Amino acid sequence: MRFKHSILATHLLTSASTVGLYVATRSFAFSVPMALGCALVTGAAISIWGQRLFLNRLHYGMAQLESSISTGEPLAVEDDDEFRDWANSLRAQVQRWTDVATRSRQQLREVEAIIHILDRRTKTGRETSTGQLRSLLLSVAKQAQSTIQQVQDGSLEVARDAQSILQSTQQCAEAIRRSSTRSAKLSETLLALREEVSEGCRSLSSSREASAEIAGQASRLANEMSRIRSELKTGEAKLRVVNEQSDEITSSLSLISQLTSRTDMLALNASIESIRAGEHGRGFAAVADEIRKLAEQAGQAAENVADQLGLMQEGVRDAASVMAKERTGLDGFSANADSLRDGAEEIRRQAETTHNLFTVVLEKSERHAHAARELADNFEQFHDHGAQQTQRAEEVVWRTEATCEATAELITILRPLARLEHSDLPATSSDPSTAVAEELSEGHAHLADDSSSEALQTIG
Amino acid sequence: MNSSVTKTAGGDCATYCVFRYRGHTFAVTASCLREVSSSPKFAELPVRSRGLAGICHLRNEFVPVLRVPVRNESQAKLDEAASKMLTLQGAHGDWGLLADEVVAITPLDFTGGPSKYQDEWSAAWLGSTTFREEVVQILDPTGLYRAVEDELSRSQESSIS
Repeated sequence: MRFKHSILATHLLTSASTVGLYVATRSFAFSVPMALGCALVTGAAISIWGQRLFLNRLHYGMAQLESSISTGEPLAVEDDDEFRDWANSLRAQVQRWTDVATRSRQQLREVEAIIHILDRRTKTGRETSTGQLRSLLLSVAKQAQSTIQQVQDGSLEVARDAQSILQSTQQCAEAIRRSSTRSAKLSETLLALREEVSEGCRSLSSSREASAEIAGQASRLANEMSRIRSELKTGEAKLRVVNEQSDEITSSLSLISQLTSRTDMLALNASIESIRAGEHGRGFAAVADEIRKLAEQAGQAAENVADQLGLMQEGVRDAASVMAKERTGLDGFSANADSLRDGAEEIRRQAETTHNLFTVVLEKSERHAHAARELADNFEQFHDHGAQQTQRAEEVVWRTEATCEATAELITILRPLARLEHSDLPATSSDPSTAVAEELSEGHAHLADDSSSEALQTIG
Repeated sequence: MNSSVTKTAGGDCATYCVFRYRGHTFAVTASCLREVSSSPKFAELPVRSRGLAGICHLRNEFVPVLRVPVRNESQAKLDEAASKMLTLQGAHGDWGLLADEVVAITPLDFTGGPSKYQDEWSAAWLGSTTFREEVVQILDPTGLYRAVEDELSRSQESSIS
């Protein structure tokens, strides 16, 4: 927008200067085409100045694009060197235009001085010799023709370069559009990756908590196994004590069996004696028989107790064996629980490490996604700038074509002045160039205080 | 030696001592039984006899120890497991009879019949009956003692000749 404003300002100033010149020279018929030519030259110079600003702006945009490409995703910008060559050649062309504009401004000042002299002569009523005026007009027409020709040639070159810039800008815009699309896709991919990594982070967090829980359970299980193992050991010791006590009971039962056997034998002998006693021993025989029955019952009871005790001892031995076996199994199980606890702890550590890595990846992917999004936005801005540059290049082409047409029209207008060289006007007695130089010095001195000079300097 | 047991064909309800020896159940009359004791250590004699196990010292007397001849059993193996000894009263003094277990002293009713033994030991057999669903062979102590004496005489005669 600032560039457009500067262009508009230059056109306004050009129009104002043209009107001013026209008003200043309206009293002379030959001054109208001269003033128009000078105004066109001034406008061309100002347009060149504007194009130079545009080129500087374009060069700045290209530098920004190169910086973004070097810091971000490499862009597929085609014909970059060629584009830079075009920019350099256009810059050189603009420099030549600037020189030409400087010369045109000097010539414009000379024309202004001549106009001032003519005005003054008109006011003072002094007659100007026709020969001097013709020589002066011829000299000015030749110089103006040469300058206008240079302006026309430069305008054509500017038009060609602007066309090339237009094509390059379109190509750059297309490349930037593709890069923007890719950056947007990259940003979306990075966001999707961020979501997946975030999901992985959550899973790892759950796994870490589960492994910590497993480690705790395994630790509690190992402690419980240790407690059960110690209780089993205590139980085995108690079973050994029970076994020893049952051995003592067995020995006591053996003694009881011996006693019952002896009692049985004693009862038998008592029965025998009662039989030998005949009728008198019948009561004693009954008592002996009862004693023998008691001895038999005691013996059977002792045998039963011994059998039960044997079964109990066998059960105790089996229980002790089972407990020893279980204790051995518990040792292995406790070792497995310890291994499980260590493994779960290792899994928890690994999950924590992986979670940290995922967190780092998450942060980096987020930053990269943000950077890719910014890069895509920058590419969008570059694309918009490229579109504006394309529009301005089209405007430059249009203006240079208009300048060419104007210069051609100016040449056509100046052509009658060239025919003055072959006319039959009388020549002056003195050297016209000398007189013109003197008057020019006077005109310059007058122009130093003139307000139109300030306007020209402002335009320059 | 007179027999102390009267063999009756119609049944005799005298008291007998029932004992087991090598899987068989025997019974002798309790009237000639002096005592039952654990089997003492006895010395074997240098004679070959199926009925004479040896001689032992019991209550200040030397008592010959006899056994019921059981077929298909080695004598050494027979004498090892006997845990009881019945002391019987004979005409020439007391003598012992090896037993594994004394079952009871009980009245038995038995019937006579053909002898189980068809040799010189047939005189020792009086009959048979049942006690607690077991077949009990009733032995005649006097006949058993005489059969052992006859066996020893024959053995001595054969050794002299």
